[in-house]
Amino acid sequence: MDIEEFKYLIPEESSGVITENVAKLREIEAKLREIFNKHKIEEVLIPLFEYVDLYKSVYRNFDEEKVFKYIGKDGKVIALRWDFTIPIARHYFSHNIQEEARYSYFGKVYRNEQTYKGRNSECYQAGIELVNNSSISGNVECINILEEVMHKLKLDNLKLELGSAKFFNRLCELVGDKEKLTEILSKKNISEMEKYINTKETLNANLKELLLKLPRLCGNVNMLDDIIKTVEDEKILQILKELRMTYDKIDSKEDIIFDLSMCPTMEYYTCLMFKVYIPDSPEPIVSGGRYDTLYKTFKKDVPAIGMAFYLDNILRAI
Amino acid sequence: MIRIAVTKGRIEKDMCKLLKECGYDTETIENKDRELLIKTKDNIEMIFVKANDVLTFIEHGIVDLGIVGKDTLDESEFTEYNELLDLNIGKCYFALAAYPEYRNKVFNKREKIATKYPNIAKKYFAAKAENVEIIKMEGSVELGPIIGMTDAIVDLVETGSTLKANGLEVIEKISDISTRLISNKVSLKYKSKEIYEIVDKLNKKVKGDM
Repeated sequence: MDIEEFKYLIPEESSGVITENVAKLREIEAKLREIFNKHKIEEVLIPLFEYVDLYKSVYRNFDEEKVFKYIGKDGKVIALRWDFTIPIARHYFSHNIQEEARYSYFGKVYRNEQTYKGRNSECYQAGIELVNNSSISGNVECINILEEVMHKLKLDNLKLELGSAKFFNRLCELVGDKEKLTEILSKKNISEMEKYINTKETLNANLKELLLKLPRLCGNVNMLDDIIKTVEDEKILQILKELRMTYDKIDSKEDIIFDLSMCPTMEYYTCLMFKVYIPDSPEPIVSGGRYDTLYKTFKKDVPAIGMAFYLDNILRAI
Repeated sequence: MIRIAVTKGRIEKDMCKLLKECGYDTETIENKDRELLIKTKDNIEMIFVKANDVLTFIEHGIVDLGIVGKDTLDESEFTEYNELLDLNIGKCYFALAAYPEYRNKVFNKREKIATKYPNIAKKYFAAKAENVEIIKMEGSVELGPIIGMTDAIVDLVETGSTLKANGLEVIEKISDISTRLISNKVSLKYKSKEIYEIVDKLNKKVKGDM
């Protein structure tokens, strides 16, 4: 191609100039900001450039292929902002604070998606991080803020789905095969679970029964209560009761469902995980969770919970 | 209404038979001419597409369910779908195949492999810590060794008759392949009752046959 032609073209990775629904997007942002301000969540601007090593130090299986990168002046590999949670955790560390902190952010993350698949490499997100807040009350506060946002955006027929990384981790402990369990549960693979259980003769019968049902264990609070009634493992029981307690304290419950086969999509999730779905978006529009050990990577042993709103998905659906 | 994308060709035929055995109406599918979208009496809409497009339609939420080979799933880097059932049809396996002398051949340069599945081939050789040069072909992969372009192939083997007819043989079996029922993750949240009704009928039949 002639160099002259390129001045009219944009690269495949680019989102292009957006003219559609810009006003609508700003309106959504304004609504989010209003709610975040009301809850005294401080908005922070996060840099665009980070060392790839920052992400690698947190994610053991960090997929570098998805990162836009270049070699910096110091010869180190620099990444275009891949997420907000990690830079915010580092910020908390570097400012030597110990108390509760509440951050919100608005901006794009950049993920180098495969071309010609109709995917977006520039993803517009908003989100919050509530740092150093205690377990159940922190969960409830985060979910209540989420519900306030959803209510304000007037999204119909949404589903707010809760899951537990602790539950998943306990299962892995009992079964002893995290990789296989992740493979089966993240795909809700009924056939593979049946096959797998048949090879596991030593597993306790009650646990086997639970595992066989697990790929399909998605439903309302009655489903959760049924499982609480039948499960024998003390630790699992405790974890599910905690989940039930979070549910009990949430202000508005009608949109809530549970997915016990939810697998941690981020390896730092330790406890509550959640996602929001609407019928018009083929992907979740919100995802979040609790990460009580993430800040330890930055020498601060404080619990935290956060969530990201996928504004492109929300905008497309509204 | 449930919308399903079915892989054209052999999977389509096997799937139609399976649906019929499960008591579904398949008349409109059997009598289709050139229509791309077929409706059945069970309130199911079907589209018939190439294997990779099944995944694209699932990713974008255009269809709720997909019928596609495990080979396509393994080759794709897209992972955000549910793989609900192994339908136990379209059974075959991935294999490394070559002329018999390949077994004892010493390579003094990077060996060449022809395949339609570069990701699977790459992963297979990486696990063996072998560096090979992969040449992607779109069909008749067996031609690679025959015309002397490559040393071996990585391909799906069903009966092995094409290999045999060309003097090639299976050097090593890589993995078993069959047809899977997949779903969009959000569809399963909103249509779980309808989807699991189909899953239950299919699973009962599939397990009965095993």
